[in-house]
Amino acid sequence: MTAILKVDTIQDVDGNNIINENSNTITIGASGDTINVPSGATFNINGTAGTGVGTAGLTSSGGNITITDGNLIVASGHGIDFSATGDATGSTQELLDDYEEGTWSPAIDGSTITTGYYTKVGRMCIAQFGDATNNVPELTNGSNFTITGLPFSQLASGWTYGSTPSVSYADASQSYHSYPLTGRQRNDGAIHVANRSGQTKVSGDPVNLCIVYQTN
Amino acid sequence: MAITKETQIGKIEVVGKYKSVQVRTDTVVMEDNEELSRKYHRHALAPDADISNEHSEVQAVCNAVWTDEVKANYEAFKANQGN
Repeated sequence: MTAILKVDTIQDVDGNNIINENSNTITIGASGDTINVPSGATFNINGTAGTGVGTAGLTSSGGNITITDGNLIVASGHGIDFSATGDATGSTQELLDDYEEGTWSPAIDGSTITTGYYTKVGRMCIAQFGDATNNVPELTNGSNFTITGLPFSQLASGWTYGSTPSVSYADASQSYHSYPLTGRQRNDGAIHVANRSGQTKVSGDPVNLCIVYQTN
Repeated sequence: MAITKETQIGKIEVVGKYKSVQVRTDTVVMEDNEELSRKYHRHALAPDADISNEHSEVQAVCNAVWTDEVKANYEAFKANQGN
């Protein structure tokens, strides 16, 4: 035989509510109380279980959640959704779903020259490198070379998403006076760099490049 | 306390209309099986790339997704766009 005890309120010996039910609202404890879920216990929220679930390192106040010690870990394919914010005409995406930092290997006309660095935010990639060695070949006025090895593929929609890199070299024989080089991102993602400075960039003159482009 | 460093293929992604293959190579430093640091290095491969020096896992993915049709479409795209 199963015994059923029907009550609205459970109180401690001092008359303080431990559990109270009123009009489909269940209240556990009272203001100032601490409710513990012991280590090893399972606490389910919407059917999702976690062992030893607690709120250490996490606080909330006034609608804000603060992580006091730890990271916000987002599952692959998810991110931070800004769709509640006002949108500019033509906006297509409001989910920030990626951030990454790392290195890449820029190559000039097929030869790797140095280590470059990148930062990717959403689908925007910022890639750069600097090199002051003889690995960067001579580039006479009017000539060009191709840089490949970008860390992410370019959004494959032809010229629409091609970007213009900022690229220059410094003339070591003229106290490192800088000259701009012209560049563009080709439809296959490679970077075409031309020298129209009127000067010759000799081997060993430092070259710096930075490009911001759209990835898939 | 043994400190080791190894490289791993951290991620292989197939992206875009022309099935570009993006490869993330992770350099991992471990101390007694506890990860101390992880650095990322990236490169991307288009369907016309030379993959002979790529990791076997990368080659397998490229060969699986770069069908003759994909390669032909990519070549047509490049020819149509010009460089």
